[in-house]
Amino acid sequence: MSTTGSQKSERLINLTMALLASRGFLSKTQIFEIVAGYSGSAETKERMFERDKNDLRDLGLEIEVGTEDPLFEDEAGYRIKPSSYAFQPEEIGALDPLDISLLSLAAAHWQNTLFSRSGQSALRKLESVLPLLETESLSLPLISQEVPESRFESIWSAINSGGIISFTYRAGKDSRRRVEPLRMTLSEGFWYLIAFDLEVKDVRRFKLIRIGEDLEIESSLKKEREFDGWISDAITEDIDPAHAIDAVILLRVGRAHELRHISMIEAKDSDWDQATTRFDSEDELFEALASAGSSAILISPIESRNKFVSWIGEKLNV
Amino acid sequence: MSESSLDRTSRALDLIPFVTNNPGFSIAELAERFDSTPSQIFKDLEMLFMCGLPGYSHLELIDMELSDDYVAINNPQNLDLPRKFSFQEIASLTLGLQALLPIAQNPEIAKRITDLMTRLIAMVAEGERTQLELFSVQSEVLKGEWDEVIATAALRKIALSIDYLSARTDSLTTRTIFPEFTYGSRGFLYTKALCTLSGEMRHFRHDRIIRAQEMPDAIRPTQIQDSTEKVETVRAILSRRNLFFIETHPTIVASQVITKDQIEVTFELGDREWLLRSLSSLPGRVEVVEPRAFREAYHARLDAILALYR
Repeated sequence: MSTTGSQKSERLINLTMALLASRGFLSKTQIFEIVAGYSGSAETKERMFERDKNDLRDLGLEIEVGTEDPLFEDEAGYRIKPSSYAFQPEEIGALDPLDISLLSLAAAHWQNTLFSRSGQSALRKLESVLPLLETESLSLPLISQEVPESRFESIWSAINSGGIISFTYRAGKDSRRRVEPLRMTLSEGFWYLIAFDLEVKDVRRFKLIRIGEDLEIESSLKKEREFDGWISDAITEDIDPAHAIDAVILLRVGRAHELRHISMIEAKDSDWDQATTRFDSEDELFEALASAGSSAILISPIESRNKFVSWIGEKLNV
Repeated sequence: MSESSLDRTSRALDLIPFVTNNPGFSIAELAERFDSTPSQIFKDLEMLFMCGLPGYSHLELIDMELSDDYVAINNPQNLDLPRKFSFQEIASLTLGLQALLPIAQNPEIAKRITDLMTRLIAMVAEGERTQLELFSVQSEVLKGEWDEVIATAALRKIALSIDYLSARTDSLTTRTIFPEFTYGSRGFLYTKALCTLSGEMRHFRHDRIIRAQEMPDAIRPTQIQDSTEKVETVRAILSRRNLFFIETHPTIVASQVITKDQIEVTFELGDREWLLRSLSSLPGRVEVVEPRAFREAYHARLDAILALYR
């Protein structure tokens, strides 16, 4: 941090304290007179103050603009109301050790920088107003399922600002997409962007990890599309019952335990048992068979059996 | 990367009420708490010495005691309370609680989670509440028959005898484990436990535990073996259909190059059997480039499958 940067932080804190302490509105002239850190020509001080004001607003502080005398409105004044600045413990109410444990677990959930930083800073704020926080041992699992994602923060901002974004999407092949972001959802460890694709004119789901670094936010365009619960259809996995397969598989005795666990088993002979299992898709069936290796033989459906042989053969003929 | 003056101001504004309410922390402890470095925290506190209310006499400046192993603020002036929770802070906690809800089996805990979520949402400015609804977490995990038994054993620090289906070795074994903690990952619950069969810390997927019984008298071994396996490097070429595989297992991917049609990937891991099984069950083209021994084992596995259909 440069000396200039340090001086700026010092000035921002002094300005915050002055605006908080003032009962009335402080004019710029008064601020330049009483707050440490403003120096130089009138124009320089003016520019410094405008930047400082924006910075404090970026920190979430509500700076009120008004005037003491309604008859002379030409010089605006500024103040921060203590009630709009300070977190009061009553806002969240009483918290016992169980609540604190749950909030700590909730904060520990995140791997993305924005949420993990925000969660920890929220806990520190609680620690600043409550007596030493005690926690209670919980028999709740720790859910640390989020895959770290560098694009989370940009897309979060895009959704909150309501702009249109474009990016290269890496799926089966690379393609440039231009979308109106609608929602974000975390599912099985991955964040997904639910967005209206302006090219295909439909709602699509994009895995954040596949969104390229070349993300561009067209902040000037505001989305106008209304959306509601129907979007949830787009984010649920599409399992078509018509694609389900009832498979009969021979399993080597004492082997293929994963398949046994999900199947109806009948003894066949001293070497093999017969399993009947329903799979959601042919892909799922083939993955299970290949995972069981030489401990499983697909008997029916016969078409799937032939396809499986080709599926394995494809890997060998490289 | 150097931090901005805004980041530093933000941290300093949070430091004042925290130290005021929690005197006695050392600089190093504060650095850990605020995810910063001791030298940075020291600079922040030095800066705060110079801050105060207009007038800036000794009565108007922030008054603190500062040494390496003891920091206290005796007079924070008007910064004794932290700033209000930001939208991101509330979103982080609310969505984190939303993730916990599906795994809370105890109705009292589930009720408490819902109550905390309601209280946090009430703290969001009215105009921002709809924004919060734009984000959701689906964290359902497959519930296992023995989840509660495992959770109780972990809390009471006692052993369990379990029958476990190992996908890695395709075997059913009975073993005694000392559960440490349970975690959820991609739809499944796992427990990290000391396994007396292997003498190592192992991860057990709950839906693969087909029996669990408390063993309150079992004595925990004092010696735990070093579970560091020999790391093997495997180079492979996968079709782009298998992008999900490298996304799901980032910790074993040492490098990857994604081209128009394929992914050239280098894996580094200790569990050779797991990788063999995983690669053979991936769809589309999967070519093992090297090492030769792994490539031969991969081909032998696929040949053995094909032999069943000849």
